[in-house]
Order: sequence, then C-alpha cells, then structure tokens
Amino acid sequence: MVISDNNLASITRQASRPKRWDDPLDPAMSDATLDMLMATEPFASMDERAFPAGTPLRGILRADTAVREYSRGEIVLRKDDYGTSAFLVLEGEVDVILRPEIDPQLLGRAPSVKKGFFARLAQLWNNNPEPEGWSKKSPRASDNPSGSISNGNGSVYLQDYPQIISKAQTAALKKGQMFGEISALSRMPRTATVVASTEKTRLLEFSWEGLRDIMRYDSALKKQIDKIYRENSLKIFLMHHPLFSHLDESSYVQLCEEAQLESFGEYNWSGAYLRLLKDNDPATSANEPLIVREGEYSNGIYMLRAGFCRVSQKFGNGERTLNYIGAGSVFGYEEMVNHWRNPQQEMQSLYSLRSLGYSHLIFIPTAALEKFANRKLSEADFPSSPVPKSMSKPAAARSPDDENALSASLMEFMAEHRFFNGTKSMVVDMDRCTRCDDCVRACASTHDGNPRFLRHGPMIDNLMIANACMHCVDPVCMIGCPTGAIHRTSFGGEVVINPATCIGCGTCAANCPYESIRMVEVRSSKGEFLVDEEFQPILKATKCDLCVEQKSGPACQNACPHDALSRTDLTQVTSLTQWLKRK
Amino acid sequence: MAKKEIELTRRRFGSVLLTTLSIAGLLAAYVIYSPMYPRHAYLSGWALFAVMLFLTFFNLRKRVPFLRIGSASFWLQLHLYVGAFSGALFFVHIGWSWPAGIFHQLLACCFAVVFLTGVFGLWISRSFPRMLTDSGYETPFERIPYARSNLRQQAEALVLAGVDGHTSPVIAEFYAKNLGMFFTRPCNRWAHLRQSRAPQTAHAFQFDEVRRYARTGELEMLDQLNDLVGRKHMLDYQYSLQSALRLWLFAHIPLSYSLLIFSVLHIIIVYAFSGSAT
Repeated sequence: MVISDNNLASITRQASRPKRWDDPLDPAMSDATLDMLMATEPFASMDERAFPAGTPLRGILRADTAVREYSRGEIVLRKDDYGTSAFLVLEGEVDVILRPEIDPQLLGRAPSVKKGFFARLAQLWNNNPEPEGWSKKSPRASDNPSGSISNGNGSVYLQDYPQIISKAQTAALKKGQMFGEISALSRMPRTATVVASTEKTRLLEFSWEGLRDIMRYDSALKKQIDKIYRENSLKIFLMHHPLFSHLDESSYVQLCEEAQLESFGEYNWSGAYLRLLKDNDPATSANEPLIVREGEYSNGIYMLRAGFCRVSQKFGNGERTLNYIGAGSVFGYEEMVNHWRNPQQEMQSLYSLRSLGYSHLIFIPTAALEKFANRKLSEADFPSSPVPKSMSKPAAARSPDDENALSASLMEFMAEHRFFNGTKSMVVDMDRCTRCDDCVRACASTHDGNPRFLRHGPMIDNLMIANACMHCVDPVCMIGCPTGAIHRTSFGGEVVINPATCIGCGTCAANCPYESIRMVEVRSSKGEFLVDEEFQPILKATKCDLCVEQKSGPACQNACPHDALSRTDLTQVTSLTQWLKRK
Repeated sequence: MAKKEIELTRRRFGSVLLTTLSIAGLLAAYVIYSPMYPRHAYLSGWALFAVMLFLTFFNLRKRVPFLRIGSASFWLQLHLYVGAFSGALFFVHIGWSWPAGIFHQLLACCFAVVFLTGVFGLWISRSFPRMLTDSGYETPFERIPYARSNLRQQAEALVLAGVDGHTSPVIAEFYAKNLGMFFTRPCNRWAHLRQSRAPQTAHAFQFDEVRRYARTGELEMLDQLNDLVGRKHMLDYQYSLQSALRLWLFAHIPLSYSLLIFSVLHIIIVYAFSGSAT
C-alpha cells in the first residue's frame, strides 16, 4: 500500500517532541535563586568553562535542582527509601540518625496509593480504546516525601523528635555538606534517616542526573564525594556489620582508613554484557573480571557493597558456579576463621570470586581484621558462607530434598543470563503453561491495552524466564535516563517509568540487559500516531510496573489458571527451588 | 518431601474428597428422598442452573483481572470440582433416563458436549504442555507463521542456489513435488496430536531416495534441506498442540453460553406448561 501525504496526515497529528529539561525539578526556580546558588560553594568555585555549551552549569542548576525548606524535626530522607536525589545543606543543620533504628511507624510510612474498588472496576470502560494513549497525569518523581503523607500542611515530622534524638547516635551535617549522593548515584536504598535539626533549614535537592552531570565536569566535587563516602557511608556500613559493631568511634576512623574500596567491571555493565551476547560469546566466567583466584593466598575479606559476584570452583577443565552473591555478602571469612582456629592452616582461598557486571567491594586486609574484627562472634552471627552447604557438596552427594540445591546447569544458566539480579522475575513452568496467554491479556487490560511483557525468553528444562521487567536489585536501566523518568517507587522499590517525564530517548531500553523495556509509539485518544515536526513517531518507554496501582498485585500471576507463572525473587536461590519443587 | 509439596497434595486430596462426598451425598439424598418428593426435579433443576451460572462466571472472571476476587488458579480449581459435581447433579435432574422430546434432547446433548469438552480440555491442559516442552523447541503461537515463512525462504533459497544449469534437477524437482506445500502451510496436524513419527519417517525415506540420484556436491545441500525439514516438523508439532490447546475452548465456551440460553428457555417452558408447578 502506498501511503500518500494525505493518508499520513489523516492518521497522524503533529506534537512537540519532549526534551531534556522540559520538566524542571522546580518549575518556580527564579533567576535570583539561581544567582544565589551560583555564588554558593561548591558552585562558586566551579569553572563554568569546563561545562559544555549544551549542558551549562546554570542550566543544570535550573533544571535539576530545587531549594527546599524544612522545619525542625521534619524528615528529609527515610532509611530504606529508594531515592534519586542528593541534598546540599544551604542553611541550618540536619541530623543523620545512625542508631538505633527508628520505628518505621514513627517515620510516617504510609501505604502506597492503590486504586480503590470503583477505580479498578472503572478500568472496564475507562481504559483508552487505543493502546498507549498519551497521558500526562503522573507528577514528576521527587524525593520530597510530603506527597506520600496525608497530613495538614504536607510535611512529615518525626514525633517526639527531642526525645528520640536525645537517645540516638547522630551525625550533624552543616552548611556546605552533602548527603544522599551515594544512594542516588549507586541506585541503592537510603542507609539512614535524615531529619532537619534547625528551624528554617534550607536544602538544595539535586536530581541524580544533575549531580552526575556536575561530577562529570567538575573533578573537585567528584573527589569530595569520594571523601564523603569514606567518612559517612562506609562508616555507617561498618558500624552495622556484626564483625565491627562493637568498636568505638576512634577505631571506626582507623578501620575506614585501612579499608580499601574496589570496583570491578563497568559501571554500566549492560553494554559489555549485551556486546557479549551480540558476538555470540557466552557470558561465562572466563569473560568476567577476576577478584580472587581459588587456591591463592587469602590476605583479607571482601564485603560486597553493590552489584553481584560469581563464586566458582575448579571442575575438570573449567569452573563450576557454586553460587552468586549480592550486596551484603562477605567473601573470605571462612578461610580467616579456619586460620584463627588453626594457625597452622594456610589461608588459601577456597573458591574463585568474579565480578558479574559491575561490583563494588570493600576489602578489609588481614592486619585490620586481626586488630578490629570481633573474634568472639558466635557462629550464628557469622557472615553467611558465600556457598550454601548444599552447593559445597559434590552434585552426586546432594539430597534431592535439599531446599537449597539447584542443579549445576541451572546455576550456570542463572549466572550466564545475569538473572540473579531480579527481585520479581517472571518465571514460567512450561510443563504447566498451556500457552493460553491469559497472563498477556490480563497485563494488557491493566495497562493501556498494551501488554508490558513478552511471554517468551530463555529456557532451561521446563523453566522459562520471560521478557518482563525483573525489578532488579541493580537496575542498570536507570543509568543515563536524562529526565529521571525511570525510578524506584518509595515504598516497594519497584522500578517504574513516569510517562509524564519520559522523553522517549530509549536509553533505558538500550541499557536493559534483559530486553524488558519496549519503546512504543504514542497515540492520541483518537488513535492517531503522534509525530514530531519531521514526521518521526513520538515514542515512550514501557515496561512491567508490577501493577503497583492494583491492590490485587501482579495481574499476570493472578490471571494464570494453572499456577504456571510466578513473580519470583531470583536473588535468593531458595525462592526458585521452592517454587520448582511444588507439584 | 518439601513442606509446600505436602500442603499441595493435602489440599488436592481434601478437594477431591469433598467433591466425592458431595456427589455421594447427592446420590444418597436422591435415592432416599426422591420417592417421597416426586417434584424433586424442580429443586435439582434450579440447583443445576445455579451451578451452571457459577461455572460460566469463570470465563467472566478472566476479563476482570484487576478485581480482588481470588486468583484464576483458585477459580479453575473451583470450576473443575464444581463441574464434576454438576455431572452428578445433571443425572439426578434427568432421573437417570435420557429425556424425550427434541428440545430436551438438544439441551441434554449440549450439557454432555460441554461436560465432555471440559474433560477433554482438562486432559490436554495437563498433558500437552509437558509434550511441548519435551519437544525441545518453543515459539509463541503468534510467531509460528513468521517462523514458517522464514523456514520456507531458507529452503527456497537453498534449492534455487542449486539450480544453475549445471547441477541435476533432481533436488529442485524433489522440492517442488514433496516439500513446496510442506513449507507453505501447517502439515500433519493429526499425526502430531497422536504423537506419531510417521511424517518424519516418510520424509526420511524420501531423502534416502533422492540421495541415490544426487551428485556428491549436492549431498551437503540435501543435509541442509533435511535439517530445515526437521525444524519444520518441530514447528508443525508446536502448531498442532498449541492450536488444540486453544481450539477446545472455542467449543467449550460458546456451547456453555448456548447451554445457559437453552436452560433459560427450558425453565420458561417448564413453568409455562406445568401450571401446577407453582
């Protein structure tokens, strides 16, 4: 069929293409505020010429920052929240609550917004007749938690602030100090709660992409953030670890100095992984950065802070994967304890450790461990072994009833495809799946008439991991989003896309190693494809949002009549084994 | 045995036991009370109509996945056990004798077909998925035409590459006569449903036959073509079983709605022509 200009005009409508900075974090940011910021450190010392013409410092500050004002006792950040913002203290002080942990109720945790019965029922007739109709209903994602709490003036206060703060160990942050940057940049949950401790505390909120851009062109800020990491995040992390929780302040300072920060693999690891797949090169251990080699002298322990590592052991001519470990795991402790118990025993690494994609580790040398680690730790408090007992046995010796036992081939499959990253992966038991596609239809009926996943994907035996967003522990899709449209929800941590701020650049879809994000053509409510001035279609990124708005949970799982589909946490081997064992 | 597995086995055993006891109770009640209450057919009729309405709701439930009214798997379990009970209730209602009159016979036939297609659907839903998985090849149903067309293009390109005026016409003729249509449409549907290997064996014989007349240089091409034929058989196998898994619903669901309509007519007729019923 030949499409004439007339035909094209009848099925399309011109619209302006969304651009970076179309939707600033603070639309009310005035020139006076901007001038004030430019005169404030660290921006005052920054060399504006180092910034490219397309991304000037003023432009970044105008679009990606907002000045927020807080009263005494008002919560700025809550521990365990996912957030994409960092903060700079402009005036006043804030308290970082180190310990004890605050009761979540006191932090004003509120249930996420779910559709009520009538709103859900109305989907039967309210859904756009055309798939992916243009919608600009969602507000821009921000770390300002006021939106989630329904009190009078929209602010969230810590109840009994003076009493709580008097009993808590806190760290005060003053004018010019920054916080929340590590969490924003590393895509990790907040490690502590931060509360304003003075009246009229003024903070500058940065979106993570703004902070990233400034760090790219200003090396001083980058160095400062590294320093802050050592002084704050590393210290908090070590304080909460059973091995070091008994130490005093001065010991923590020494330990932080002796700890070494190491990163392996590419920060945006999906690119390298996708290249391997494209070249048809199996993503096996040989292609992964080696951290520790089996049999070599073990001169300390590695504490995994972010990312994933593969634990393997020599087997025949290759290496057999025994486990994959994520943030919070400790490698090398077994060898250390064996040596403490029997000093004659050589400290040789029992396993090899390789970085799967990007990993960030803290290395504590043996000398520091000898000095600071709690040797009286009971076995129950030991860091868990990087290899479950069932997997450390030879395959033939494993009991079929062993809860944790995964077949060696399944373990390799999980590691090679990097599936251990998924907290809500869509696993399908193909021995039960009748290929009826009820799951696909259910997804479509809850998402603008367009299913957000493909019931297709890599298979091993009867197990299929479908192309659906896995809501990763390390969501690489969030790297590079120019507007921050892709973000984690504050409560469940699901990775969702805000259609109002998505400009359809496709960065997230290109980054996703699992092909779970699709770029779709946007239509008007009348079904016309929206096109720009050059008649190029306007796209938006779509993916599974785990039905965050639905009280019934993921529609796909609920719609499967044969219990063949499950949203499973693949970061835990046990979740998958238990699901596979059901009849 | 894992704890979850035991729970599931227990639940299934409990459901089967409950259904069996319900059917036994129904039959006992029929044997004991039917001589005393000659108009029991009205009661069993209304009960059967209510059960049929409930069974039909399963299909409607699938259309509202966003409502919190239990998972589809829970509804399917109810559908199966209540469906089994409805069979017994049907026989109680008709008094263990085949009804007289065309309309009533049509109604009874309709119920029987819905019931039997349900049993057939349950059987293939439990057995075909494993067969599909064991075949070692998986493709979504919607992509099968694309995969078939892709295979045909590869096969045609292979055969056309050999037609250069120098090689023998044997392979091209063999393709045109035996494989042209095979690559164009789904084939051997019934054979695949019966898990028969006859079509593959027939093609193997045909390839052996052609090999005798092919030149040495053409043997490699024949091997490649044979490989494509093998893949087409796998695709046809997927098509046959996946289409069966979908098509049985095209009999079961429309007939269920027809049954409901016939049942309403039946109720109207019964009350219209038996004044003493009220």
